[in-house]
Formats: sequence, structure tokens, C-alpha cells
Amino acid sequence: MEHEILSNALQPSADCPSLEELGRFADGALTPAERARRAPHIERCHACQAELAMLQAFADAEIRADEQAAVREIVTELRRREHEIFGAAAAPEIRQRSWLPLVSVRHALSLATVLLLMVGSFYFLESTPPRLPSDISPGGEVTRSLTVALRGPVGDQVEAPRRLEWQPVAGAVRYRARVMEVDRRELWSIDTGSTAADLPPAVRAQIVPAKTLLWQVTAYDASNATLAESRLERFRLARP
Amino acid sequence: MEPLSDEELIAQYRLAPSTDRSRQHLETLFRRHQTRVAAWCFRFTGNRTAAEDLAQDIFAKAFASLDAFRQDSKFTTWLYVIARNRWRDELRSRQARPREAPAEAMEVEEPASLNAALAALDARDARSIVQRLMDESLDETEKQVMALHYGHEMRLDAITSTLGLTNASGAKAYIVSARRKLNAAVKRWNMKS
Repeated sequence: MEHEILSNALQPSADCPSLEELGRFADGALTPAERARRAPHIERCHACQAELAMLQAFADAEIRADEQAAVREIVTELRRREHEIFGAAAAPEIRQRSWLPLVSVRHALSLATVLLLMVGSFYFLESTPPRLPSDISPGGEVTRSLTVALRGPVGDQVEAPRRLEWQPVAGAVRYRARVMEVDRRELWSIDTGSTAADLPPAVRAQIVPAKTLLWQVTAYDASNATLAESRLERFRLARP
Repeated sequence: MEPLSDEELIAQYRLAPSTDRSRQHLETLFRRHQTRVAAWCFRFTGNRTAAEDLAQDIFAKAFASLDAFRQDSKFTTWLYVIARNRWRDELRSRQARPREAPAEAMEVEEPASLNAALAALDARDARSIVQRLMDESLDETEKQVMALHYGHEMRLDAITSTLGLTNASGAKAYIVSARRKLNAAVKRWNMKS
């Protein structure tokens, strides 16, 4: 009886987001609207918090001493079964190929190029100023996600951004923000206790139209251990 | 030169899925995540042979579904979702076989008073009441252990590893403590209402 009551009380409910959505929440990849809709439930739901703990453990991949021997043996066996595992990857490809005889590779590539140019032009012409989250409230809520959620800049910008902003992470005492070229060569970095960093003029001078730059933030705790890291975000200055 | 990220490896693979080069990208992904998946499967199954089969299924499913990876989350997160769904299927399959139903909850002795107190909640909105009483009476670790064990049917030693608990008896101690506190909270709640 007790087990049944506790199970019913603590199982995910219909209000809980799907695993995929919860994963995007953890990665800081929900849109601001999705995040605003989902965060209140996730923050107070025991089942969702437990799922996030499992996801974090999966991502951390820390193996206890008493698990190491068994894990080594499992890995050895998996390598022995590689051909069966990779065999699965080949199956969908056969389906993809079935239409190819109808169109030559050269024509297919030409068509794809034209389509990409059309879509790219449409996207560029229709691009709007950066859509920053509307719920920015410096010093406000503390996110419990496994990654640092970046507020902006994201995407096309109408002017060179002046600052980087991100969501606070529970337990973080320091953040390192880095701006990089697309080949990940670092242009600039800063360590700060704040959740924003002003870009110095020398960096802003390198933000020229149509040039994509990357940025990323890492959160550290008091012992200098990495707590969370953001996804690699892109922004660029739109052509005038 | 910095190694390609998981997402970049998949993007490269998609450019020419049938080449030797793309096969190498898959192998890189596999080797990068094999220990993570192996450890996770071992924790959940508690059995090396079952973990091998589960891990193989997870990777086979992942590589067969790479086209469905939309890059809107990290590859690790996407792989986790596949692992969790595969494990849910496995649990459902085990529960359909009565003799293999999870029985580990029995490891922790159930005080009769807690059964009686919780039974009194049965006719009411037990879910919201239990959750509220947990919030009021349990600490964060106790809540997580309870949710993992009862809500996600996770074995106690798997919870100990997942949460990195370092006390002597791991998750079991938290379950015992949480249930004692919950028992008292339910009794108080019953007396008040």
C-alpha cells in the first residue's frame, strides 16, 4: 500500500514536460517563452528534479571505484559488438538512397545549392533584431539547469553588442565568458562574479557585418570546480 | 587542433554517410560515449550481462536514428533520452512478467504506522498531499532519493552512485530517514485535518 501511494505521488505526471523538453531545459535550449512556461513546474516538481539529477549523472559520467571493473568489461564487450551496432546506422541510408537513381548527383547538388541560397536569402532578408528574452531581470531568479543559459546576444544584431548576459547558476561564484572566432580561436575572455560582461571597444571593433562570432560561459563554484557550461552561441552583425 | 565536438562529428557524418571517413566519425562518437553508457546501464540493471545488451540497444538505436538528431540539444542529452526511453521499455517489459517485478523496496522495512497513516490519505488527493509534506519535512537529498526510488523505480545502489552519496549505507539511509520524517508529517497532518 505504502509503496503504491508513494509511487503514484512521485511518478511523473501529465503536467511534466517530455524527456526531450526537459533535456532542452537542462541544455538551456528552450525558447524564452517555453522556458517561462515550463520553469515554474520543473523547479518544484520532485519527479522532474529527479530526472534532471539522472541526466546530470549521465553527463558527468563519474564512475565509482566499485563500478570500474564491470564497466571496463562492458566496454570491452561493446567493442566486440561494434559491427552489430554500426550495422544499425547503415539501415536508414539504404532508404535514403532509393530515390537517387531518379536524379543525378550533380543535379541534386545544384538543386540543393539553389534551395539553400533561397532559404538563406529569405532568412537574411526577414531577420529581425536579436530576440532577447523578455524576462530579463538582473539579479533575479537562479536557474537550476545543468548548463548556463545565455540571454544574449544571439543571432543577427542590428548593432555591435555592448555586453554579454546570461542566467545565474545556483552555487556559482565565478563565471568565465569567452568570445571566439568560428574556428574557436579565442578573441577575448573575462572572469567575473556577475552575470553580465561589457565588451571592451577592442573586441567590439572586431564585430564587423556578416562575421559570425561565438561565445560561451562557464560557471565555477567556490572550490574552482566547473559547475556548468553554456552551449556555444553565435551572433553576427547584420549587413547595413 | 581541437577535436570536433559531438555535434560537429554528426554534421560531418551527414555530409557523406556512406564513406569510410563518416564511419570514423561514428566510431569517434561511440568511443567518446561508450563508458558513459556502459556505466549508466550497469547502474540501472545491476547486472553486467543485462547492461551489455541494454548498452548495445541504446547505441544501435542512436546510430540508426542520427537523422532525427536536430541539434536543438547536446548530443549527450539526446543520447540520454534514448537511454531513458529504452530503460522504460525494459521496465514495462519486466513488470509484465510478475515474477520479475521490482522488489527492492522490500529491503527497507515498512513501519506499520506509516502504512496506516498513508492509507488514510488514499481517498483524498494523496499525490499533492504527499508532495507537500515532503517539501515541508524532507531535505533536498531525501526528496531526490525518494523521487528516484519510488517515482522512477531506481535501485538503491544506483541512486547512491547517481547522486554521489558517500555515507556508509548510501541511499538506503536517506530512504529510512525520509520515511520516518514523512510518517511523522502524515500523522500531524491527519491530526490537524
